[in-house]
Amino acid sequence: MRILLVEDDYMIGEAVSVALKDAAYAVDWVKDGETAGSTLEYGEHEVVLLDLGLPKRDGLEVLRRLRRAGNKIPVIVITARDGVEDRIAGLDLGADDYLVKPFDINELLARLRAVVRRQGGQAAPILNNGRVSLDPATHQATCGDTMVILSAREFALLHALMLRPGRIFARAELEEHIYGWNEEVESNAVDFLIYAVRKKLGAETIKNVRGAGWMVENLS
Amino acid sequence: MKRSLQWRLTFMLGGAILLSALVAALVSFSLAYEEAKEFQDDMLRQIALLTTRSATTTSTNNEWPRQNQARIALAEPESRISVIHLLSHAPRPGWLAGNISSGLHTLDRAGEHLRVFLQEDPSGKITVVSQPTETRDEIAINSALRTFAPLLFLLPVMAWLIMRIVRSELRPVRNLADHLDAQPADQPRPLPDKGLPDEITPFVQAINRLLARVIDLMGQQRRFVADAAHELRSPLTALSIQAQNLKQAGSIESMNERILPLQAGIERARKLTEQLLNLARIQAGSTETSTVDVTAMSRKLIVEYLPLAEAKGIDLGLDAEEPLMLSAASEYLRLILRNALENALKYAPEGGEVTLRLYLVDESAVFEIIDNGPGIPASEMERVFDPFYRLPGTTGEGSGLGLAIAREAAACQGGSVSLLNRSKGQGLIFRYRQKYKT
Repeated sequence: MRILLVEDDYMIGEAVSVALKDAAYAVDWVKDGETAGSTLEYGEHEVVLLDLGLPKRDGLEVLRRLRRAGNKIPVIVITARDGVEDRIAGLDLGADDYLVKPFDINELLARLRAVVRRQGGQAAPILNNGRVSLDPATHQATCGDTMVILSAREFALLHALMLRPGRIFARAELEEHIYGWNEEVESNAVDFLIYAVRKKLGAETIKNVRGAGWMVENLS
Repeated sequence: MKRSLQWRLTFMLGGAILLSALVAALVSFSLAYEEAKEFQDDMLRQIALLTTRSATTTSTNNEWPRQNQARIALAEPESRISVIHLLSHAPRPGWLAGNISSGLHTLDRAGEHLRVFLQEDPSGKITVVSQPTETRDEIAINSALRTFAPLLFLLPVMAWLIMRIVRSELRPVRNLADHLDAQPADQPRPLPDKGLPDEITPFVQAINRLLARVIDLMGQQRRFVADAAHELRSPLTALSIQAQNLKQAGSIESMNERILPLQAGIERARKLTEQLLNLARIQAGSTETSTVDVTAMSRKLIVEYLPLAEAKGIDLGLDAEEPLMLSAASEYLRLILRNALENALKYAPEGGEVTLRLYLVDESAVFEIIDNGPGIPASEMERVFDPFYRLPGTTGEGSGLGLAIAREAAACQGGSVSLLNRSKGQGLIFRYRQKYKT
């Protein structure tokens, strides 16, 4: 899952990036509102973590433009502005959640999972396609009697597929989900990860559609 | 005398009115007294005239005494006026003895004073009209007192009126005091200055101006506290995530890697706290002023910042021609120079140059810290002095307080700080200027 982090404070930005990568997210980090706005036009990201006090363009303005353009990407506002009016303004402009600094990184991760879950139209915290179930909080995958903990990258791959069971993902799409801008993508990384997941959960877990890509079946 | 304006006004106005009333009363009393006496003299004269005429006309010579004796023609008991007719050559009563001319006289009869009018016509008939002065005085005093009475009655009324008027005129002042007392200390509102006496309006306006300044200052303080709390969030947020990241580290190497940002985060929080304390200390005011060897102090500061400068390959130098002594609070002076030096070292590029320059001009000591960094856009020149304001595009690791502290510290000892972009080449000049006292 690829996240756009918009934060002008260098230390916070770096620390949050590290934490998100630890949690198997691909993170791209921009430091001002204008860059955030132009980056979001490409639609590469699935969630935005948005600070409000930004140089060049205020976070709320970024959010307003995003929603006016019809972009439905989930946005979590992360800010030091804790006034009730600020929260209301943020949520009314289309933020999906609002987190006040200083916050616990685990709370951010939990809210992130909740927002992603709702975005996928699921209320249950555990993703399930009828064959495999995946817990985003613990990276635990279950298939029949087999229960394994996936590595960060393995989880990122399976998570991307499990969010939309039945949809076929091309290699490039999967790479996008797994890697941030500055990360070097190894040429056969996707094949390698699919191999690893299949080995842990069984070959039926991820289906290959020749010439198109990969998918998990929707059996539920 | 009491300090109360109300009592003073009441007493002084009351006293003045009482005094003038007394004088007026005395004057009117004596005038009335004199008037009454004259009136009575006239009366005696008229009685004499009337009795003489009636005695002559009604009964030719019957009424008039033929004999050489006095005849009492009239004696009125109430006013004790008596009229005596007699002939000029006839013997007179003892008190009338002697050569008394016509006219008014005060005579003595057996220890009693008499007011006497004597009229002698050409035929030698004498008419004497007399009245005891005691009776006359009594009448005169009584009539004079009657002019005096209304004044005596009016005095208490007047005093009461004065008190009422003074009190009611001073009511706006008391109302103002009540209004001020009722103000909440944290949010005072201006006093109403409508419908006040002209003498009080300037005071109220002055109080309102003071209140406006107080409100402004409180607003600034409130904003500062809010901003400070806000600013503390950022380092705390960073610290909490950095600590969590450290905990999540999977290997010794990544642990070591993650300790560095945590240390930087702690340093940042420490720096911010220190700057907040510096600002608080300056705002509390009053450190001792002494004669400071500024050149020596500058040299020490340069030495202190040399390692930081060398780490960035910056050429840090001092440009001071002669020893300079200045009467200043050395702690404040050091704060100003420190903040300026830190900024300069932060914004000067790698391999750049920072110079601390001291010189005297127009009886002022001038400190300049000159860097060859990017300078500051003219539009931001004033805003950079606001607490917590940072130039757009900076990483936000500074406290945003350095220049605010420098400005406050400068103001505390009568100096001034200013920023200007270098005219030759690139860079910024921070200038601190203070009157040089010999």
